Amino acid sequence: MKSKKKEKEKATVKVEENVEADLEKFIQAFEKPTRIYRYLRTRHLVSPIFLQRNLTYMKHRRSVNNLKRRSFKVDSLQTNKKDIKNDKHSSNFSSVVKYLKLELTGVYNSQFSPDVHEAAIDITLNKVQHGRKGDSQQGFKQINVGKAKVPVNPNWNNSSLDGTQSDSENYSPCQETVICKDGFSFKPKDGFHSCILNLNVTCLLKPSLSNGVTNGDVSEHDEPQPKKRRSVLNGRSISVEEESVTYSAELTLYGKQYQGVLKSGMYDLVLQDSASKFSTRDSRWDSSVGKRSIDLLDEFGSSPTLKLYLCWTDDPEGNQQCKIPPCEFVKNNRITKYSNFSGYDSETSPQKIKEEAQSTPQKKMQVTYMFLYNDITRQQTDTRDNMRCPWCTVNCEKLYSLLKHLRLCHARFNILYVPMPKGARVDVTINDCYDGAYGGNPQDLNSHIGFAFHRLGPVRRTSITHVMVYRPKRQPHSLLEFCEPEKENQVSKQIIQGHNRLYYRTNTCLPLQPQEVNQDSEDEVTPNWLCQKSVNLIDEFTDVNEGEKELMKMWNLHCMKYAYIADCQMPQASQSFVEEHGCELIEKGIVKNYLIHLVNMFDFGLVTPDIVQRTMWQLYTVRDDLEMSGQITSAS
Amino acid sequence: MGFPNHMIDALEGANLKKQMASSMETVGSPEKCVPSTSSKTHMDLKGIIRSEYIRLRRSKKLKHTEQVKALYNENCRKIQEDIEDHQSVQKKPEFQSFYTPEILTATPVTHKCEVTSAVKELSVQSVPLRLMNSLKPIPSMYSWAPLQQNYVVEDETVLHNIPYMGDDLLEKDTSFIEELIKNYDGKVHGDKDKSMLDDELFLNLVQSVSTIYDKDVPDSQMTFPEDKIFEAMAEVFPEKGKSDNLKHLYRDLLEKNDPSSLPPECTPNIDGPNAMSVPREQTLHSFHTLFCRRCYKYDCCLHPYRPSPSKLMRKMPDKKQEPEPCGADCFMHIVGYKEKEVSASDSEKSDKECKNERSKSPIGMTKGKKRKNNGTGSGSEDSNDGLGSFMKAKYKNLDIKYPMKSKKITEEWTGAEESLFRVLAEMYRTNYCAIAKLLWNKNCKQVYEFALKEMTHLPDLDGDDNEKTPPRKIKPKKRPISKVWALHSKRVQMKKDSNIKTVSNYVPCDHPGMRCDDTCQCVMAQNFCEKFCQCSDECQNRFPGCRCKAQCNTKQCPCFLAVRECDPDLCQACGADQFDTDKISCKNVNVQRNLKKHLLLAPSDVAGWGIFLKESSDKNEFISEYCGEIISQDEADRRGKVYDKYMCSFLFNLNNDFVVDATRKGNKIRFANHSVNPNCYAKVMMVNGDHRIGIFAKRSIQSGEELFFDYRYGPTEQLRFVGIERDVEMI
Repeated sequence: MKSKKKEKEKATVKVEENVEADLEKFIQAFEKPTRIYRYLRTRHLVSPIFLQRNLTYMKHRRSVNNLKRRSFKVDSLQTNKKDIKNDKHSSNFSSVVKYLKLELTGVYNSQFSPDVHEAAIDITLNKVQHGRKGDSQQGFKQINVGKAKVPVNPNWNNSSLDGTQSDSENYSPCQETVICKDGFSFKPKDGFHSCILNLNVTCLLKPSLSNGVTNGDVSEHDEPQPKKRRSVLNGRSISVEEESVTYSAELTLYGKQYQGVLKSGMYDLVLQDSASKFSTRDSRWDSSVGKRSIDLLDEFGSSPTLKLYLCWTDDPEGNQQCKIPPCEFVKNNRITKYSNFSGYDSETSPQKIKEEAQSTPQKKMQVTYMFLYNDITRQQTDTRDNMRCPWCTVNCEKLYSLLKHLRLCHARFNILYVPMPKGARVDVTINDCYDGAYGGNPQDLNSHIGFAFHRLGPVRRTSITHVMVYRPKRQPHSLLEFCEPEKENQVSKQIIQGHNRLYYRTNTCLPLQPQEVNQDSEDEVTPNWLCQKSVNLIDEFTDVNEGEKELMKMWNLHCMKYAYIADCQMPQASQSFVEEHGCELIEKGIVKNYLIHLVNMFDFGLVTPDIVQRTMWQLYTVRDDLEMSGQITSAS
Repeated sequence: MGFPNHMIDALEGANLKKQMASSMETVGSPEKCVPSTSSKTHMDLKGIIRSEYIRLRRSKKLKHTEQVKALYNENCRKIQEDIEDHQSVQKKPEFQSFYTPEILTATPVTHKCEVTSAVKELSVQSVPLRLMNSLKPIPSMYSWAPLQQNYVVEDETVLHNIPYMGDDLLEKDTSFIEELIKNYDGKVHGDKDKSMLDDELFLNLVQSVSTIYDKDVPDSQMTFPEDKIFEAMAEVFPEKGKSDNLKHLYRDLLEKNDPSSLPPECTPNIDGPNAMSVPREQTLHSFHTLFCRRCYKYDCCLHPYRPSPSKLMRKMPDKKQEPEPCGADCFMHIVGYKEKEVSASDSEKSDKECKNERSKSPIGMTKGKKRKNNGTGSGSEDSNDGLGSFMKAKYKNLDIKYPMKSKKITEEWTGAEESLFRVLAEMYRTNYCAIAKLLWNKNCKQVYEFALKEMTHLPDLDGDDNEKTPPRKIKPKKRPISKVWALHSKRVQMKKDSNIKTVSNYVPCDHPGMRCDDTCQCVMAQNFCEKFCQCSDECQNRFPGCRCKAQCNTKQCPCFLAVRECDPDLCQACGADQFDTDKISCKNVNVQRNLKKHLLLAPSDVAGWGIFLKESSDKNEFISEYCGEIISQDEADRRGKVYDKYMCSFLFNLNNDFVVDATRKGNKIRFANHSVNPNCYAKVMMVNGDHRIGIFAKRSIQSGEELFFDYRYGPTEQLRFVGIERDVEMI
């Protein structure tokens, strides 16, 4: 870290003047945090946890502003998309359909004898439909564009090395024009196919008699010539019947998503001998293939080429040449749309100017760091005239940002700002209260969160909370906040709410499993020990007979179970007691005791005689039922 | 001796049996110990006593260790059961614990563990040693018992244990323990009786000595031990007093230990074969004394004072005697009954309701019959309905019919039936039909005849009753509620003027025949009279309850204003009386209904353990009740001394008389920490006659937040105890 070295250098200068111990103390005080921050800086450079420009106080470091976010609404997403689409359709619908016009100048082959004059070209268009799921050759459409005859080596003798340009400008009358009748509709949505132009060139090796002869005638005439030619040229054993040689070439007009749409212009197409694919290979041909890989440009000299002029037109007749190639136009549509919506240029420029106006005077400002140590009795100063952080060299550009950065990112120091006439003074002291404990989300520490899925099906997870959006009320930026020592900010304390910790059971202090979180250990009104205790207490009485004891225990447990709280619940309580414990009462033979209990409740003014009668009737009914079913013997 | 001989013999025999059973080896070989001659010297006897004493003590000790062993095994078994239970719960829903792979690559390997072999061919094996990070232990927790309601405990007269607070404290501050023991008058639990002779041992000793002594005397086992034995005993154990004292003690103990003879105050079981014919008071005695009118339980652990019901007003029968006979055999057909009845009904004519009842009763009859036709199970069908006035009204018009089929009529009156009749007679007066039905084995004619017989030696019940409850007889018309409230608010104003902030514990007042004036304990303590008081319903000092239609959570509600929860028996408009908790609109019943929030325990962010809210809560919402042992202020002072030393206290002032201590028993909220900037507050509320502490949200609290309240500002604004102010940087 450069700044540190600087400090040290500065310090060493002072040491020579003053005491060596002073430096020792300075290093002692500042070495550890400086080392830590030096390490953190390097780590941040390698794998940043956050980006400086995303911090609110570092706004000016952001190159792209998000002004349009302010007006952005999620609901507007669809309408925006629709607008773009409609616009394209309405304005560019006609021009989206393009027609391909090919002007074929001729086939060039140096090895052809001059007496070969014509070649027939069969042009087909292969549209390959790419399926969405990778089965690329799903749809394959072949369209016959047309046939044409082109001269072989036109102007061979006249303009030997004129090149393509002269040809394109001065169209020779002999060139053939082919227009693809099916328009190419460039729809942005429809880009799941690619288009390949297939050109098959058949050269009649027999010299044609004239330019204007029909196709059929030619083929009939020049049968013996190619035979010789081929045998000489390629050294192949060509059957006597062969009269022509066929070349083919493929030209990709555009790929998937209209990638690389061919521009209008003159093209030299290298032709390949299509017959070679089917013939047995010989050594010569192989070598030529090997050569091709070495130098592609050589091929233009050695292989036959087809010269053609390709252009896109707006009308099927091919009269109107479109100004912009289709690819541009697909791109352009998008770009113009965005620029129209955002008003990008108009708004950014004044802001930039403003920022510059602000930052220009500050650039001259000096920042003096005063390192205080040894109980603020000693000091070292370091002056710099930029807004870079002395520890991590982040250019903060503004004084406010610098101070904020220092306070937040270098909490091991206490930062105090003192305004100075020429610039700023920053007092740096060691923060003794710095808490180096883990300050992150506590749930990252706990490993009990668990999987959502298990081999046997879904399992329960602990619910966790994350802060997705946090927009606290921010104070307007003011340098005054740095003039006084930092206070513990309460707002920042509890940003993450929710269950971020491991919970324990109250009774055993064992960690609570996620599936147990919903069980409240205090759900039961009466703990077991209390039930047992009340039973024990009743049992301890010496002057209460066993029938009374039994009834009292049962009644107490019943009351504890339902936690009766009011006089008006007592009739209900006595009846539900019979419902639940009626059989038990009869089996234990304490029916009369229960009657006395009811009378007792009457004595306390809790039930009316009616209730007593009703409840007892209920109990007698239970007894009757039991007697009927023979579970107990008839009562005496 | 003045004691029936045969009885004592029986007792002794029984006791001996008991002793034999309990310690088989104890009475192993008495013969060889002592030469049994009638001319035993005094010294011999003393020797016998001493040796027997040692033997008995040893056997007792042995028995005790056996007991401890058994208890220990029992506890182990219970723990094992709990663990199994817990494991089965864990297995129920699918859950896989999250496995975090060890990340040891980050930690540098500084040590290596190598295994070198003496055999040259074997290569050296090595494993890197890695230091594992120390885990943060969970905070310590002293065991405590869960509780959902306060629990009254008595003052401890002995110091149960000498608290251990580390060796340092004992060395530094020896005076503390001394002071502590002094607080308990020097009594520490487990201090042995100096003589080492407790009652049980004494009894056994006398008996075993006497058997040895009387061995050779024929038929002498059946007599009371001779005076000589007691004389010798008195000499061996001089601190026990003289021989006469010992003799008396022995006699008393014999009586107490005899299982076959019941203590005189215990009535035999009415359902048992020994049931006796006893007066009504005796039959109901244990029920009356043990029943807690406030908890509705027997021998409750919350209310040491229980009023006896004789002074209470009863809910008198809504239905008077049916004029119609219950059947062909009804007692009303007996000659001479009618004239009596007419004169009786004359006295009741003043009562207007009586007339209404009469006109209603035929309807009730028909309804009752219908019910009977429906089948026997019809009685239980109402059980799920809400309670309250609705149910009462329903019962009013229903007559009860018993299944008559298997009723066997017996002619003799058993003791149980006679007792039962006396019990029921007070409730049903002259409605012998109803009594007969409840008695089951008697018809109303028999009951009537028995009643006539009883009448001759029993004082007139009616007259007696009228004297006891004078306000009932007058039965004034109910005062309009506005007037009640005017009176009430006047009183509240007076209370405010007096400007005394102390809150006293409520004890039901009991001053028969007097109105609640300045001498009434409720008035003196500035409490309202509650339904548990012995005064009449129209008492001036009663709290009238609220008539809110809303939620009773503003100061508009008089209950809320008076820091009381709505009483289900007083406030019916707000729905506090609903049986089903979901139907209650009133928000002022949280403590009594136990409508607490789910709390979770975790190590605190501040200190020790903390308690966290599972679901978020709004401001002023009820969080939980602060439960614990209710102890007296004196006891709290004593306990507080120890807690002060531990720097950890769960004491909470309840009122002037009592303190809630959640140290030993409590609920989860006891883990809430103190803060000067809390999110909860505590409020002591009067809940159905008891003071209880409710913890409420001071502001809206989010889920997962830790709960704090300010320990210092208890409800009574008395600073009882503040452990350490754990106000960290929360200011």
